[in-house]
Formats: sequence, structure tokens, C-alpha cells
Amino acid sequence: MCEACRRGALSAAPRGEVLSRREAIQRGAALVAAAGVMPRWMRAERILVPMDDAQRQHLKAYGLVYGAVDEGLPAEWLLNYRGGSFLLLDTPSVRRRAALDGVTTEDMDASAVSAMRSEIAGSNMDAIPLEKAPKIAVYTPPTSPPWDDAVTLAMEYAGIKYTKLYDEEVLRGDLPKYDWVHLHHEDFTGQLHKLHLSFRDTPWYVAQRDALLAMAARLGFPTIPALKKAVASRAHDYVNNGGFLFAMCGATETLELANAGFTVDIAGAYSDNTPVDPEASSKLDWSRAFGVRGAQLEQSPGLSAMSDIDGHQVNVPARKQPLGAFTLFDFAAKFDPVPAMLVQNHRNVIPDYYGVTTSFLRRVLKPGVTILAHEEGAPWVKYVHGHFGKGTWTFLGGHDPEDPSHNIGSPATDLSLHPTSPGYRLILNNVLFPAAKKKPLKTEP
Amino acid sequence: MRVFAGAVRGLCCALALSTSASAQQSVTLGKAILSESKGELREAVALYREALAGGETVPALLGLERMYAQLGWTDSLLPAVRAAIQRNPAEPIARTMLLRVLRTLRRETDATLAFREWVRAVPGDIAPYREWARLLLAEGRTASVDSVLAEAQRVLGSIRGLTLEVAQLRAALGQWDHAAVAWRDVIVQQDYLETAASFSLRAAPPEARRVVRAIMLSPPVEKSPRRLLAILELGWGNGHEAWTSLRELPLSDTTAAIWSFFAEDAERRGFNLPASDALMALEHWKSDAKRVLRAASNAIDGGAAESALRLAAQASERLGPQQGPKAALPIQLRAYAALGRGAAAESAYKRIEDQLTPGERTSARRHVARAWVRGGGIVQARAILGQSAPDPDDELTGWLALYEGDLAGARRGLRRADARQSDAALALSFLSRTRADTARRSGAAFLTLARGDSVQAAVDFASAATELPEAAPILLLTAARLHADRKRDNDAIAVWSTIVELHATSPEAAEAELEWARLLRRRGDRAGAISHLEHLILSWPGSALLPQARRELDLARGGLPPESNGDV
Repeated sequence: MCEACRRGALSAAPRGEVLSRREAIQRGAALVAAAGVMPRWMRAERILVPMDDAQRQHLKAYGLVYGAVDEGLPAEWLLNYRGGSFLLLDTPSVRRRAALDGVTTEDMDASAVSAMRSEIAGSNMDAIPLEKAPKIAVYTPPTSPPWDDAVTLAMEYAGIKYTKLYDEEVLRGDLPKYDWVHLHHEDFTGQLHKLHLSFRDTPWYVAQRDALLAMAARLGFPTIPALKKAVASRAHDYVNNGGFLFAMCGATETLELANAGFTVDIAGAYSDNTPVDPEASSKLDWSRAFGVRGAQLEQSPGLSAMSDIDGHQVNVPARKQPLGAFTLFDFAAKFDPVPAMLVQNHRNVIPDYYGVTTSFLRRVLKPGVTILAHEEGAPWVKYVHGHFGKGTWTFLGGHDPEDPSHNIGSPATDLSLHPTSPGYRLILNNVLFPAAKKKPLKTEP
Repeated sequence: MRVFAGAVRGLCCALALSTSASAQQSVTLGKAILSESKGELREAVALYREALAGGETVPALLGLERMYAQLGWTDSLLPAVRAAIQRNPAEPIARTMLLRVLRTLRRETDATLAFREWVRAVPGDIAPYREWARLLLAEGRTASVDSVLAEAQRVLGSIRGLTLEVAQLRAALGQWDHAAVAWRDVIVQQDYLETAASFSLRAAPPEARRVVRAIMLSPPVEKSPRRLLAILELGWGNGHEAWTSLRELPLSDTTAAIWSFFAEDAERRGFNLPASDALMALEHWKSDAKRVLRAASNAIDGGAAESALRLAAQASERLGPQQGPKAALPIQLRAYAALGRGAAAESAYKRIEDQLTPGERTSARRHVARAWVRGGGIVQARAILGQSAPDPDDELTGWLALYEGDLAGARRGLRRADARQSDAALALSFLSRTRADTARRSGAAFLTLARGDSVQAAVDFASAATELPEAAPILLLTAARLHADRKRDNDAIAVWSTIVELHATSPEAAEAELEWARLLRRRGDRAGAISHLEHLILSWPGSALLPQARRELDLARGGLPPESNGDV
């Protein structure tokens, strides 16, 4: 029995009357309820969703938490506590979903919660309330299956709702309707990642190019590069006005190039019928880019690389670098909660994986960029984050954390075979972090 | 000239004296070791002290440490160690011994001071940090080790000389990813530490093994990390993964030695299929027909009968017509028996019957009979066995009894049946569900199934369920499986429905519901499938089928790529 109940029961008993345990609880509960001092959920039991090695379904745990927040239930993200665990209210709906999804949970009574909070208070940990399920949009062709993109794959597997957007919706001005937007393997320079070098006559490539040409014509743009630059510019404005943007793979590099080269011809003749401006690299306006500066465009049409931003250059055999493993940085949960949220994981070292853009060379990153993960001793980093205007952006290199050498035509990743994937956790950290209640940074004036 | 000759004489004398003193010390040390081996500890102490005084500092101190530890006089070692340090402040063995002695005496503050003093005596040297960290690691004081390594990093600018300690620390802290990275660095430099690395990493929990695997497999392909991973995988029970980690090594004499060692180790531990693969990989290095035969033998031991037949044929051909057929026959007969191919077994036996000894013939006939029995050929089995009296404890007798409905005989004979075979697994499961001694209809159903008439067998199993109510769920489930295999979906659903409704507490109920849901999903009835799967998961939370049910639920909800389950 809680202390309030005990006091209530004692004060409600006439002098000398001996109360049974049941009566004492009933009277105490009635008194506390009548006083109405404590909301119902604060008195209730909690469920801990551990995210360390005790968890068997790390990815679905994010879906469980997202669903609870979406249902309006209180939830907390326990940064650096047991791999970034979650604390949820114990309700039948939460228990049912956890059971169906196989998410490991632990019952927490008031004393266990209290002990946990004191441990959090005294360590490099923090409890961040999750307030509102973010409205999520993924920029992807409407016909594209979810398995083409690691983020949609993860959200489908975890059971997190999202909306698909593409050029038409973005240019119509839909981006600001969403709290969080994801871009994956689009080439915002409009050159289709120079895939014409290998796939020019394949039916899927021809169909994709023709669909984009038709889209450009319908929306009033003369070429695919012009269309994609306009979309990149909307993404730029979205972040500038307070949106959360998360990009992976080739979308990271090409978004930076498209925005920096907004007024420069950076696309080869095969995509817009005009050659690249020979001085293009020196004309790029890096103030429009989120996290990159001073990169050099790859102007050769014969090389399947966009610039020198990517350290691995997977599609240029002579430059291709082998895969290693990247290490996540530790952040102070109480002082840097956002980077801390983005790196919550049960592993600190994660095997690397290729993508059209696999990594980001340190030397081309702007000074204010927060490096979230790097490969020790290598000139590149894997995972970066920063502020731009009123919003934030996060770039994660590579295509699919569980398919290190993904190729066109490779079978889709079956996440039920990787339910504890640390790489996919990084993606889902990004999905969930906009739900966190904003706290003023302690380092801010 | 006279002066020069005197100088030479003097030098010779000095050299002779010095040689004589050194020889004397060696003799003293030898006597000390002899006394120690005889257990004359006090005498040994006196002799070690004499050797110490004579300048044999390190061996004498080590000897004294052993003696004092056994006599319980460890504190007496301190003055001797301190004196040795005073004579040579940079001597690492004496310094390490001082730390060890003080920790043994539980004088922790003094030990810490001694460590600090050592650091001051040899600025820029990694040795004090390394020895102190090792000592703390041995005591399991991981937090302190972490601080020591952090200090070393700060003071020395690098801890490259401490990679072993870093690796051990990370493993002790359960930071398996960091531990794997550190151990890989260590063993690439010092491959003799592979055993230490395997000892340290083998405790990684199943969830952490994936990252250990990825780190060891990451490029470049190096011998030591791959060999370490193979040792770990075998220890974790993953024979196939163990071989996978080694097979990419570029072929060379060293690689061949590694593969050969692996094959023996895997064979000894019962990982027969990986052993077979490794033996066959060695064929690319040097051809050896006997090795192929050994690979075939491992294949049949591992349950890969088809593969065993192929390899046995290869070996037979290479050994030639004189030796080959006879050498390959035992493996071929075991494989035919496993596959239930009685006619093929009998034909192989007859071809070389005249080359076999009487003992070999008896053994071969039993294998042929097993092959016939596996396929339901009771008459042929009895014919090949001829007059030889059946052994009631033999698996062969067990199968014959089962087909005739003699469950008591089947229970006795099938005790040692190989449960990896699906028919044996089914028979054993059935026998474990009933105490009846006779069940003619059930026996007939098994015989029909062995003869390959699955349509009639399904009907027979369903009908036999009324004969033995206690075994009804497993008989019904078998009937349903056979219906489903023959695409008789409605018949299967009718049987699953009976199991779920009438035998809800049986272990077969969860499987029936799972199969029912799978069928509904394949038919496009996602809602129906989801309803059954949710019911299964929530009703049987302890069922071993839950992972499969959850995967099916993901597929039904559309949360996984369709090709994940062979669907497109």
C-alpha cells in the first residue's frame, strides 16, 4: 500500500476502530481519488521496455512506443539507461501489442521506478518525456514498394504509420504538414545517380527515367535536374522553417549538391542536354547546404560518383574503399539530449555497409556539424547531425544496415531475421526523436 | 712488453674469478630449485636468498615468491623486493612483484603508491600501466582498470601497447563489440593469443555474437581472426558458421593445415557436415580418395544421405574397381537406409556380396533390411534377414513392430532411432503420447505412409485418432499435414479446426492454428490469418512456435517483403 493510502486509511478510521487491510485500502483509495491530487496514470504501474541485450525485439519496441504515444499514453525515453530503454504506462493495449510483437517488457512497481529514477539522476542518463507521435512523411515514388528503402522497411516492420510524398506533393507545399521527413536514395541533382552508365537500356531504368521526364513536364520543368533542384529547395526551406529532416544513402550527398548548386548547372549533358558548367565546383553556394562545404563535383560522365563528399566511392572501382566498422559517440544525456537520443543503442561498434553514398569525408563537413558516429582512424564519418535555421537535419551514410553490399536486384532485407539490428535502431531513433518534449538546453543562455 | 704481459695475466685472473663466481651462483640456484622440487622449502629459501645476494636477482626473487607463498610468509618478501628495486629502479619484474605482493597482502593503498612510484621512475614507459591493469583485471576490478587505461591514454598519448588489456577489459565489461575489435588487433599481431581471445569472447551472449562475427569477418581476410571465429562458432554450437569463417581463406599450405585441423576438431565435436565440407575443400589442395570417403562418412553421420551417396561414389571411382566398391559400400547402405531406398541398397549389396566376409554380409543385410523397412517393404525386409533372429532392441525390429501395431515392441526397438529423421521423429512423438501396447489402425497408418500413399495415410491417421484418444491430437495433426501437402486444403482445415476446438490444451493445437493461419494467408485471407495468429500468440504464450507465428503475423500484416516467405 502506498504512503498516501496508508495515511488516508488511518485518518479515516474512527479512534479505536480496527480496519481490515481491504477496508483500509478502499477507504484510502477513496480519499485519494476524492482529493484528486494525482492523475490516474501517475499512480499506475509502469512497464519498462529494456533496450539492452535483454530485449529480443529492439525494432518492434519502437513501434510499441510510437503506438503508445499515438494513443496519448505517457511515455518516457530513458537515455543511456540500459541501451536507451522506454518507460510506458501499464495498460492492456500496451501489454497486448508487446505480446503480439514479442517485445520484451519488465514490470515496474513504484519502488522500482523510484530506484531507477535515482540511478538516472546520479549518472549520465536522463528521462525524456515523449509527448506526441510525430507526423511522418517519406519522400519516395508512389509506386515504390516499402522494401526499397531502409526507413520504410523499418517503419513497416515496427508498425509505425507514415505517408508517402513525391515531387507533386512536395511542390504543392505539403512538406510543412509533417513533423519529420525522410529522403532516401533520390538523386536531387537529377542525374539518377549516373546509373545510365550501367543500366541505360534496362527496362526498369528506362521506365524510371520516362516517369520522371513526364513528371517534370507535368509540373512545368524542362528537365529532371530542374525538377529535382526545385524539390531540394523545398526540403531546404522545410528545415529552415523548423522541420526535422533525415536522409540516407545518396539523398544526403545529392541534396547538398543540389542546394549548393541551385543556380549552377551541375548536371551532365545526358540528363539535361547541356554540359556541366566547367567552373561549377567553384560556383557552388555552400551557405545553402546543411552540413557540407568546399566539396568538389565529379564532373566526369564516365565515373559513377557525384562528388568527393563520400569517402567510400563504392561505384568507382579504382577508388572504392573497404568496409570497416563505425563507432557511435557517447553524449551527455542531460546536456546534449538530441545527439544522445540519436545514438541510443545496445552496441557501440556497428559493422559498416555500402550505399551510393556510404560516408562523409571529415574535411568537407562544416565546423558546427555534430559527428554521431565515425570509423576510427578513417578520414570519413558515418552519421552526422546539425541545426539549420529553425530545424534540424541528420544524415546517415549507406543504404541498408543489414545488407552491407546491396546491389540493384538484391532481395529485400527481411527484418524478422534482424530483430535486434543496431544499425536499424539508428534509423528508428530518428523516427522517434521528434516525439520528445523539448527541454531548453542547459548549455543555452 | 713486461707491462703488457702482466696486464694480460691480470685480465685472465679477473675473468677466471668472475666466471668462477658466476658458476658458483648458478650452482646455488640449481641447488635451490632442487630443494624446491623435493619440497624442502626452508632449505630452498636459504639457497634462493644466497643466490639473490650473489646477484641472481630475478630468478631468486621469483623462487622466493613461490617459497614464501607456500610457507605463508609472503610479507617477508617485501624487503628483498624493495632492495632489488633500489638497486635497479627500472627492473620491471621486481616492480611487478612488489605490486603483486602488496595486493596479496591486501595493502591496497601501498600497492597504489608503489604503482605511482613506478610510473615516476620510468616516465613514458607503458610497463607500469600494463602490469597494474593486468593485476586489477585478474581481481575483476574492471572499473579501476578502465581508469588506468584512460590515464595511460592521457599520459602516453597512445595505448597501442595495451591492446591485450583493453581487449580483456572490454570483454569483462560486456562491451563485446569493443572487445572483438581489440582482440582482432591483438591476434593479428600475436597469433599465439588466439586461445586467450577465444576464452575471453566465448562468453559473449547470443545477442552480441552477431557483432563479434561481423568484426572478425570484416575485410581484409586474415588468418587469425578467421581461425578465432571458427573456434568461437564451434564453441557456440554453430558448426556451419565456423566453417563459413574459414572457407574464404586463400588456399595455401597454411590454409590447408588450418582446414585439416578444423575438420578433425569439428568431427570430434560432432559437427559432421562442416567437417565434410572442410575435407572436400582440401581436395582443391591435394587430391586424396580416402579423404573423400571420410567426407562421405561425415555426411551420412550429419544426416545428409544424398550428399553421402554422391561423395561415396566419387571415392569409389577414385579408389578403383578393386578397392572402391567395397570401401564405399557401408556408407552407401547407410545412406540408402536413411532414404528408404530398399531396392537400390539390395542391388549395391548383391553386386559385391561375394567379396564380403560372413560378418560383413550380416551387417550389410541388416542395412538393406533397414532400407526396405524405411520404405514400408516388410516382406522384402524379412526376406533379406532370412533366418537370422531379430534383436528386440534393434531399430529394425522396432519399425516392423510399429507397422504391425505392436506398440510395446516398437517402443523397445525405436529407443535408439535417429530422431533427426522425420519419420523416426513422428513415430517417437506418437509412441510418447500413449501407453497402449497395441494399436493396429495406427500401425497400418504408419505403414501406408512409409509406402508413400499419403492420401490414404491421411485418412488412416484421422481414423486411428478414435482408436487412441490420448494420442488423437498428434494423429490428427499428421493427417492434416498430409492433407495440406497434397493441397487438400478443406480437408486440412476440417482437421485443424477439430484439433483447435476439441484438443485446445494439447501441444498440437498451436501448430494446427499456425498452419491454418498460413493457409489462409496464402489464400489471400489476411484478416482471417491475423485473427488466428493473434489468438495463437495470446493463447499459448509459452509455445515454441511463437517466433514462427510472429513472423507469419508480420507477413500477414504486410510488414515484411513478400519474398521473405517464398511469396512474390
